Amino acid sequence: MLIHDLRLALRSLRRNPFLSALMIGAIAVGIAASMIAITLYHARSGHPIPWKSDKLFAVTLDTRDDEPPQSFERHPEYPPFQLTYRDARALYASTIPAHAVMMYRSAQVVTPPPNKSAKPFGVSTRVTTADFFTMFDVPFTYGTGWSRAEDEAPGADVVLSKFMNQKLFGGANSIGREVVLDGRPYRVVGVLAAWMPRPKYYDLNNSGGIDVPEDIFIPFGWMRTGKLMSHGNTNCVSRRAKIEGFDSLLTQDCVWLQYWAEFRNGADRDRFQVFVDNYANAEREHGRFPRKNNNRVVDVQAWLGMYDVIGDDSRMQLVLGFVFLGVCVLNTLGLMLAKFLSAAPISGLRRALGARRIDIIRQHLIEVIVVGLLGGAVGMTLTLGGLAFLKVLMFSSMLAHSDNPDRVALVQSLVHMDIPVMAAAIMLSLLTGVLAGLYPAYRIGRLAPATFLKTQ
Amino acid sequence: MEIRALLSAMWRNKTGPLLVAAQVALTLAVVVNMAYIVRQRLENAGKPTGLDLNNMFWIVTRASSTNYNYAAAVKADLAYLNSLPGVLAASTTNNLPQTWSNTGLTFAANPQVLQTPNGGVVGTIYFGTDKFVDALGLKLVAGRNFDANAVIPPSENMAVSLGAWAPEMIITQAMATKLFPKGDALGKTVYVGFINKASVVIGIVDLMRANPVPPQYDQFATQIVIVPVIPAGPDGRYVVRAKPGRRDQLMAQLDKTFADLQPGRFVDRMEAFDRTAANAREGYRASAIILAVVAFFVLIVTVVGIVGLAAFNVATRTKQLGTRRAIGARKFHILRYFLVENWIITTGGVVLGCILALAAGVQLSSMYQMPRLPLYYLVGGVLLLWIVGLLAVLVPAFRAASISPAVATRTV
Amino acid sequence: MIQMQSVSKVFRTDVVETHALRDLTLKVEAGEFVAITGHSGSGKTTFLNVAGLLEEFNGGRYTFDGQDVSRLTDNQRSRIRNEKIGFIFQGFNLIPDLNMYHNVEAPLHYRGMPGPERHRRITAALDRVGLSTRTKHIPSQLSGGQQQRAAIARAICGDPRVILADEPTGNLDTTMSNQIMELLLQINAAGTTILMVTHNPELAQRAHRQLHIVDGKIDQIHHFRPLQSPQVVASHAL
Repeated sequence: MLIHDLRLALRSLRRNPFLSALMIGAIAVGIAASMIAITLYHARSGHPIPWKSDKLFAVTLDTRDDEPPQSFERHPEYPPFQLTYRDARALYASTIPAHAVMMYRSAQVVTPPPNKSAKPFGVSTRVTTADFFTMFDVPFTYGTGWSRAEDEAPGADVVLSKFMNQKLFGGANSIGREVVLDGRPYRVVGVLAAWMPRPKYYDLNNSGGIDVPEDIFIPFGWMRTGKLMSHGNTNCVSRRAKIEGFDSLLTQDCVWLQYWAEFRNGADRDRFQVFVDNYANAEREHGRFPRKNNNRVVDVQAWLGMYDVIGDDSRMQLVLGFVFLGVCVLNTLGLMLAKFLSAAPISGLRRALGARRIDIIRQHLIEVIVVGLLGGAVGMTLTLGGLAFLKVLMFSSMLAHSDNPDRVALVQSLVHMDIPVMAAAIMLSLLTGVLAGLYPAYRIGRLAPATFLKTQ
Repeated sequence: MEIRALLSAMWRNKTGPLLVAAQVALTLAVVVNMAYIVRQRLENAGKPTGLDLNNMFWIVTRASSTNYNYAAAVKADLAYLNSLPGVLAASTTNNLPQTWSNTGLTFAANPQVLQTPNGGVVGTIYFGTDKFVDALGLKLVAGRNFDANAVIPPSENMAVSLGAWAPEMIITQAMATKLFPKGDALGKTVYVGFINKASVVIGIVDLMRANPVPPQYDQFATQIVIVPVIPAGPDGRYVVRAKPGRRDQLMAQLDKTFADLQPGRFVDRMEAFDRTAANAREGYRASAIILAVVAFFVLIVTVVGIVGLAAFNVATRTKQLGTRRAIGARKFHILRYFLVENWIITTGGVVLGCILALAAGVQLSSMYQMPRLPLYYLVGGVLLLWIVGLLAVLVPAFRAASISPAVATRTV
Repeated sequence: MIQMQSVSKVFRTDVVETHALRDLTLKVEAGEFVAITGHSGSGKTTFLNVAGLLEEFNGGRYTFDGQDVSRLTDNQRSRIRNEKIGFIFQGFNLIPDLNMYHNVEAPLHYRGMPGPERHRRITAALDRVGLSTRTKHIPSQLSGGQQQRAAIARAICGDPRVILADEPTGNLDTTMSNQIMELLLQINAAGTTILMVTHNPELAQRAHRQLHIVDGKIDQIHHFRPLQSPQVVASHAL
């Protein structure tokens, strides 16, 4: 029965190829637009660490001056996204979290090993305390990170990313080998496996969440000795801040550090919130924290929401895609209605020969679903083509001047249709076909057969 | 014209017209709003920078050894670059314009203002030599440029160099007007927040726009202060302006020779400024293209819908049209009927579309912090849809008009 | 009223040439009721089309109401059809989405007639055919006889000189056919010339004359009753 209906449907489509092409084309274009928008949106809305989202918390304190908000501030109610050195240290000293990390992004020059006749080159690095690797579940191929004991008296240990290990040591087990950063020798104690959290949730500030992880990880203790400057956003949030030298960044109210904590349970998290607020109250006595307590301890997903990694453009594109699809559905509905009504005499004949109303409706629905699926298939091709085009249009500058294959992978992931999205595409094309065809099929089924057998 | 009959007939067959009107409504909302956003994006991308981008390029150097004498290298590099016959001017800088990399401070004519809430003018700061103004192609409209001997040599590191200040500054007109609304900036002292320094304004340049930022941040990109200090190393950033037509050849030449001129450092990157500026605008350009393409296709789909309905009407009304001609309708009457019928449907869609467009416009302008959708976009959109709707229905309408009156007597 | 002299009409395609009308000569006086008969394929529909200026002809002369209509523009022909001819079709040809009022109104719009006069004529016409209670009905709500009466109302509301009827009773049963014939005879008695194509010999006999067309020519002419003298023509009640 279904095969028969299918054959009828295909024959019906072949009978008027131009009209069928228009219907399929309209659905295809609508599906393509919405699938492209969905893909782009989905790529930015990833859950980077779903198994731990509710255990990891970013912390921010409202150290801003008590000023009215400026007109261009989108969310004046949010505290700054980074911490001052003084506050990060104070938080880091708390024993409430099971793990905690304070860190910032920097940049160094690597002098390649003497056997490789390569030039020195710049790398982006992350200066961090020990817990970074355990907290963020960073996978290692060789070795491990360093211990918390080294926070104050760091050994000359570094951890390399997979790409950096490939670039410097050809991917071999480089544990114990020497890496020269800014002229100072370090030893490799760990090499990471392939790791690219999307978005780059642990440091949204300096990338909008769309970036590859750093190439080399350096113990936090080297900050002072090496005068390792932050290469991320630095923002002095108080007018009373005085910048006179490197040490100013350690003492003044300028934010440039990220702080994350991992708690054993919800009770600990609540205790920590109290701790943070009490700390703020104490600091207020010294003239800091002029505003009321507005200190946040937010989990990963909430953090991504606050920062709005998804962004207005993705949302607008999504709405646009669906509006376009809506117009296409209305269009196809009209075309299909016209087609069915024009072919009504045939249906009338079938009814006269004994077909029931439900048979006619079913036959037409099958035809409608076939159109939807064909439109979806063409739409998928258009989607893939469109995404390839967009990759070049939107992300060319990200790929320029970099030999890091992770960057290529990152850009690819931004325009990549993964399985869930593909499944959504199939569902969408089915739904579109049905939506466009339900009313026409109903109309044709409802008509009395005699209406069409008259000559007038 | 038989308007009442037309409306009455349309009402009895309202599905087709309603579908088309709905498409027209959505299309109007989309086209109008997308046109506005595209215009905004292109405007953001197209604002003048005040820089001679086509002749400028930049070089970034980094230390390759610990005993790199940055101060000496910088001095030598600048001397070399400025001695080249193809070079108009070369200077160091703390940040490269058009790269979204900025340093900002607050400035005020009166030091007390800096301590008040939201007090002072936020501006972008550039450290450059006496050649900075020429290297960027800025136009001095008042006062003078820095003397070569007024340039403060580099200090130990970045944070310290913020502290090492110069007693003179050149500011943009935008900054001058903000600090001194009466227009008497030249010769006045400007106080700087965070680093607690002050300088005298010795020159004013016309316009510089550091980055293509959205309008609500544009003030920060144009309120610029230039101070004659060579930034701290070990990274060197040079801005070079070539004589017209000489840039590419110069870059090729330097690509081979510049790195080896000084020991202890390597060339990290070199790029032409128009490429850098284009990259900075990639997002605007991309979104302008995407939105324009989508709006175009939405319009096309609706046109197909209009043509489809009209063609369907012609096909199903063939007998009726022949009969009308038989009873005395001229070709013109038939044509007019289709055009008016189509116009009514389009206008119905347009009316609904205006409401949708305005509603969407309100949403978008609050989301993107843009001013409200100007009404002339709506007017333009309505006219566009009327014209497009008219053109779409012309072919079917002419076909209808050419149906022979003899069709009326046919029995099939 | 209608004078045709050696009128011919040829349909040419790439493959075949069909002589639908050959050397057709006839004369219809004002006020006559002429029945046109012939087998299918004889050319009677083509004759009606040519007579009603629905189609052009190739050869001969055709004078309609004293005017040579051989070389008129499409607009001129449309005008004559609108003002001087009323059509009645076998399939009624009412516009399906309009009610009776608007259906009857259609030809008056094309004449540019102002609203009040249109209204007067429409109500009078519908009243004349006995459909004044059905003005708001659409065709699908009426019987075949009622629909044809509405079509007649449409044909007469413009005060035509000639009515051309193409098998007006072809789709109706006997009772309705008689009703329609009665109506047509009344209209003819009031002075309107009527040419009626029919294949029903009984109906044909009620006309003044019957013209039998065979292979595009008038083959036989039968006279049934004489035409009343022009003075008997009553003033047009419309």
